[in-house]
Amino acid sequence: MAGQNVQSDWKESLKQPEVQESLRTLVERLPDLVESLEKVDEAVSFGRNVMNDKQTMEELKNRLEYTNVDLDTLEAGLKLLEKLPKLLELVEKLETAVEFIENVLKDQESLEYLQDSAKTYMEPVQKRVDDGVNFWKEVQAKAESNQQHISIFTVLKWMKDPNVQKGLSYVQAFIDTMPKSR
Amino acid sequence: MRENFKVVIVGGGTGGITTAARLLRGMKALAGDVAIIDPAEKHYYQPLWTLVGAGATKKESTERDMKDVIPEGAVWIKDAVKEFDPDKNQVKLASNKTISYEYLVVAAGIEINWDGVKGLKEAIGKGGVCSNYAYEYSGYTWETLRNFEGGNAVFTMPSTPIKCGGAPQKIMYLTDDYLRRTGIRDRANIIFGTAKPEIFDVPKYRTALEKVIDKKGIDTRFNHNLIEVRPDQKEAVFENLDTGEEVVVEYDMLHVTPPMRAPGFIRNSKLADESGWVNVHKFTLQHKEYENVFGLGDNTNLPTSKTGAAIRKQAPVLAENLMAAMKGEPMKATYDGYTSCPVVTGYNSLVLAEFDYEKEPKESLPFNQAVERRSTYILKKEFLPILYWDGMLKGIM
Repeated sequence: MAGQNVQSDWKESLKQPEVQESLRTLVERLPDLVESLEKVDEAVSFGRNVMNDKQTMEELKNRLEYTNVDLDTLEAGLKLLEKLPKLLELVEKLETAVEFIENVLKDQESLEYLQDSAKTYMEPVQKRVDDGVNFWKEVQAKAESNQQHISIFTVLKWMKDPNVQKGLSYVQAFIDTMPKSR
Repeated sequence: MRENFKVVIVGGGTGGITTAARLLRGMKALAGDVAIIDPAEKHYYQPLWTLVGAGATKKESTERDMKDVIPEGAVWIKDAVKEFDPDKNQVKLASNKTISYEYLVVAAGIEINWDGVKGLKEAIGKGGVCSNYAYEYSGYTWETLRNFEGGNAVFTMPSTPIKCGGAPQKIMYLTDDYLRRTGIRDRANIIFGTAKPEIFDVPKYRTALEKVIDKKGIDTRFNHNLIEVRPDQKEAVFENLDTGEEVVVEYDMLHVTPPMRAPGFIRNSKLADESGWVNVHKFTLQHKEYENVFGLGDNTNLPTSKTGAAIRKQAPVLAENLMAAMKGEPMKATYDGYTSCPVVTGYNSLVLAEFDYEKEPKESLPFNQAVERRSTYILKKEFLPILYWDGMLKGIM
């Protein structure tokens, strides 16, 4: 009874226009489908042949053995794939920065502008350095040309110099403060 | 000469060049199919003109040949636009040639209306009347400042939209600083006659600038619109916008920010809104009526401050949306009204205002930019010009 019901359901389904339309399309596309199936079959056969070809498999195994590709590498590869969107973003930023720097380096007018600017900011620093160098040169020259004998009285005379006094007052302050800090 | 292009860009200023560079980077196939129409031989980096006027930068460093900034792959049509015919996808040139396009980008900038103030055109560039709003006059501002010996130094700001809304006050702060450095500040009255009701639109920066004005002892006259310059009597005539009265102020130095408007060929075209500006959607930058037309920069009706920094954020949005339109894809990029105004408050100090359509600060640096700083001054003077020439105009920043 149940078998008869199923059979009548099938017959009913076949009468429906959309089923008939589908069947018609299927028949029309059968050559394409067969062609595709043949290609899949060829691919499967190729895979099977490769697997059966002991020499090829042995060579492949050797190759894999002599590379550093192991499970860790594959895992790292997967993790890298996961990070690709973020990496792409970073690479794009880096690319922009590199291109910008390249543009600046090729642009003579920009380079001159930057050079002029740098000069403006460096001039006061340079002046201070030059002053310092000149000061020490002067000190050196005076020391070398000084024939005067330096006695205890000369040192005592130095003590009267306000700059020496100021320096010594710092020493005094340091000595006074040191025990308190401990 | 070719008469049709995939993309025609009207204007070889900041907006036009940046957009062309971005389109050509984003779609290599457009090479040779993007035309830029501009009659000018020179391209200027205008944000430095304030410093030129204050003697802090050489005028020549703000100027380059147009041919050197036209991106590779773009075709420069050295001509002026006379008329738009968006129904036929055509622009008519001053030389009477017609150029057809598939997509149009309008980036023609803003027009300075020297005739908008009676007597200004005749007075400008001599007798102590100067303006940083034109390359040819910015050098004269410095000459006037150098030779100023005391009296009234008057600075103005008009009622119309202008490019770089902070510039009228920047030169005023620099003048104050210069006069202090040269020891004659006590012999000068610095007067700011502005048609605006307050010093700055964004509350955070307004508070900071009000303190600067107090500190510098500047006499501010809000709702005062310059209507006439009388060079013979050395008088500037303002209209008090609250009372309608005329207020005459004598000057020894007068720095004028002239009224501005959309260029004539836009004002009188179908692309303009009722105020004369290119009528674009505030988020997508696509024209509200013509789907294949886009606009950016000073010539648009975008409700934000007209600055180069705004264009830096508009250009990528426009380029991305235009390329999406070409591919038949939905437009995804949106512009949030970002603009920036580096308000120079002295020879070594600057308040770096950055904000959006909502007048909400959108600061890029990790500190309070409403504080006057030397670091931001150096950024403006030394690094932003390089960023402009070698990053922005190349379509990469």
